[in-house]
Amino acid sequence: QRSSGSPAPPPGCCAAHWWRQPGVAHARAGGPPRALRPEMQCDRPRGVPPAVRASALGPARFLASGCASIDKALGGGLRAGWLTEIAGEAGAGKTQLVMQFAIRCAMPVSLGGMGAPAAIICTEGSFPVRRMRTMAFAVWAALSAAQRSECEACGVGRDTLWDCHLVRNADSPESLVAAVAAAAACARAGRCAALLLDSIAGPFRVPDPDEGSGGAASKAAPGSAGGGGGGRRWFAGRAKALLGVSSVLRCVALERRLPVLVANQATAVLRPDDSTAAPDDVAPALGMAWAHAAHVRAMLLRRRGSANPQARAVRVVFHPAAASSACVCVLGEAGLGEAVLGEAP
Amino acid sequence: MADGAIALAPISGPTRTLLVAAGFRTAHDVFAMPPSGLAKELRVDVARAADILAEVASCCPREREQHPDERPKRARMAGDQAASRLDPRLQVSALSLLEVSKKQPCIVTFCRGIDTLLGGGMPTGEVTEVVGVPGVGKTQLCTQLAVDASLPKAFGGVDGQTLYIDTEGSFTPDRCAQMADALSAHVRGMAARQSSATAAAAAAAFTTEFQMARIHVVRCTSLAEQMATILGVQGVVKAVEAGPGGGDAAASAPAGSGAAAGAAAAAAAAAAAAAAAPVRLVIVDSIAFHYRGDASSADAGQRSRQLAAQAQALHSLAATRGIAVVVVNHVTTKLGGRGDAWGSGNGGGIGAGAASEAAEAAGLLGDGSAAASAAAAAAMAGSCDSLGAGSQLAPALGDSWAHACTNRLFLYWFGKVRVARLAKSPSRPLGAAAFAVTSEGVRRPPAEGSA
Repeated sequence: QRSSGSPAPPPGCCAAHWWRQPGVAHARAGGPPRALRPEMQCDRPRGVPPAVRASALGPARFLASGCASIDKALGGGLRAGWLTEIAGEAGAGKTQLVMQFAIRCAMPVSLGGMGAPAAIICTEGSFPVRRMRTMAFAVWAALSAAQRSECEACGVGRDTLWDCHLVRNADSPESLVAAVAAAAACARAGRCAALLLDSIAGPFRVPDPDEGSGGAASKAAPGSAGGGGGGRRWFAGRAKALLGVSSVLRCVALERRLPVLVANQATAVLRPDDSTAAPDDVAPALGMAWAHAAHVRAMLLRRRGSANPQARAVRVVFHPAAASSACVCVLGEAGLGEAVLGEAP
Repeated sequence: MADGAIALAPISGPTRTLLVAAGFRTAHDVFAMPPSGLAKELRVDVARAADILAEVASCCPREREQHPDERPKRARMAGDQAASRLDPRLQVSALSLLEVSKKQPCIVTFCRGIDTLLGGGMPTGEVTEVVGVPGVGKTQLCTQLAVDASLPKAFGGVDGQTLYIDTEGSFTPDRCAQMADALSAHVRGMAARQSSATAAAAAAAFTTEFQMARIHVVRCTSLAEQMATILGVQGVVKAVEAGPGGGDAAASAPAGSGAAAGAAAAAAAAAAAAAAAPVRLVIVDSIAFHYRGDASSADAGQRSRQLAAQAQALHSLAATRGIAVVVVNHVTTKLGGRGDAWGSGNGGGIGAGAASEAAEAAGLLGDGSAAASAAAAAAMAGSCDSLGAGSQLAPALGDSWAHACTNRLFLYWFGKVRVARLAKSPSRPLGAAAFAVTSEGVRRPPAEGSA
């Protein structure tokens, strides 16, 4: 139905990709760029993305957290185009880490940020905006004068550091899906440079009495007989919604080359042989359906037995490009920061 | 306009509607079927089908001549008449197939356990499925294979290019470069031991740039792109083999400064050197990702049909071009029921048959203590996820997909050790092997078992 002439590229498709489609009428002035002309002769089927040599893939961009040991454990920080999951128990500091990344995202690229504000989707009640403001001021205070002038040259000041897009009250699975769609649209429009979700587990976890105990008690049937049937359907529905959300997040991350951070809760592990758990017997929530969704999975753990109640450990469970590693850090005014040497291990 | 097109033939309206609705496009399609088959397709009785056949024959006499009257059943049964209509290329004896298959090369994985399990490496001409929990090393194994496919023949490789269809975005160029560096060093060591001129020359040409230039990555960000790529994979492979341009024509175009131009020239030289080889490996990582999240394709029947079409495309690619196809799949939890119904054999749940597995895995880990392996076996029998002891882990995409691949390799954790288990193979005995993922890539685990 489209008249031949200069067809517009479909939405969400970058112009360079569109040029590579064979058979597209090139009625624009000057024709296709010279460098791309030899490609038009090859008969790649329509609709297939172009094959790029591995040596020609561009370098990766990272969103740094400001704490060198966390960045090293994560392989450089939050990698653009990947979905990083950070799971931790209550009070471990996941929201603090989310806020820290949002603040860093607004910084210019030379300082490890992405140069544009981030979008935060909050599913757990009210978001502590005041704490975020305090953290932004603390981060600003910790910058050197040269870094501050660099920020100001890019239009980022003390008050704009904590100014990010915030989507709140995504308390149920449906509203989470809508919130994620809104954030994805914001990302596609180019207005935000990172997506942070705190937390994915909020709308999906219902305290189910036979979820944990039934497994350990009886090996014969899944859960108790009564809760088994309903539980199965509930799990299936939950898996579907979860995977829908994860699919949207990953597609946006891939298309727009954004770093995406998803915070998850942690549950106690009943069997010591769980492959996805840290050795401190907590495992990320939401099961196997969600486990495939993230490229990188990290756990934020409290350090039991440490003198400092603010001591934390970040442990990377799996990562496509780095071995599992761990690091220690301290939760402070400016978010998670370096642990001072000489701390109790 | 095709000759004999139904839409244009002078037949009556109801007949035309009936034929077009049933999917017949040309008169050839109509004549190719006997009246009973036509009756079944059109859902009419045989007499009506014979009338329709006669009507179309009267309208398209030329096409009717090309399809003579249906032979009597006796003649159709005659083997020689049937044989004379067969394509002679399809008539091969098993002996000739055996000789051909002996010469089929394998793509080594550089992990001795997995190579022994697979009979020398990943077999070409077959579709292998790799299934595992997240983080166990599926993408690592695929990246290792992608790098190994470019190994020269002098060192036991297949000297080919790789097409990496990446649907998850987890292909990491820096990790690939790391593995390529390790492989180059290994090859240089092998060449030094062989001490022949050709080997030394091949080793010198086998740089990281060379290996990376031989891996072509196609990023599919949606189900539509994945379907288009896989169903049209023959065309994609031809395009990859044909043009040295590929995708890096645009990348090298905006080279500005002298240093960048020098690097681009080196890359172009490496690309040109790498371009002459055929594609020997196609990796789909992973086929399950877009199906698990895409709520719109909720129709299970449609999904099975799409998967069957993709499997068919991959099989024909492997068979006609002698390409090794590796497909990565996810796992899902099977809620409810014990694992016994699924069996411990082909394609069953990962936790099933734990007792026999524990015995064989204890052999894998060397002299692990009996207590440790028994405890681990008990834990494995309970499955390795948090949904309770009754659940099992099973490959995603359902049972119809389970038949689609020729070989099936399960990757899982056994305690702290990664294990690969061959769960389905028509030609190799089933078994398991331990492996490790190091900074150099996928290798066999260190000799002193750290179980």
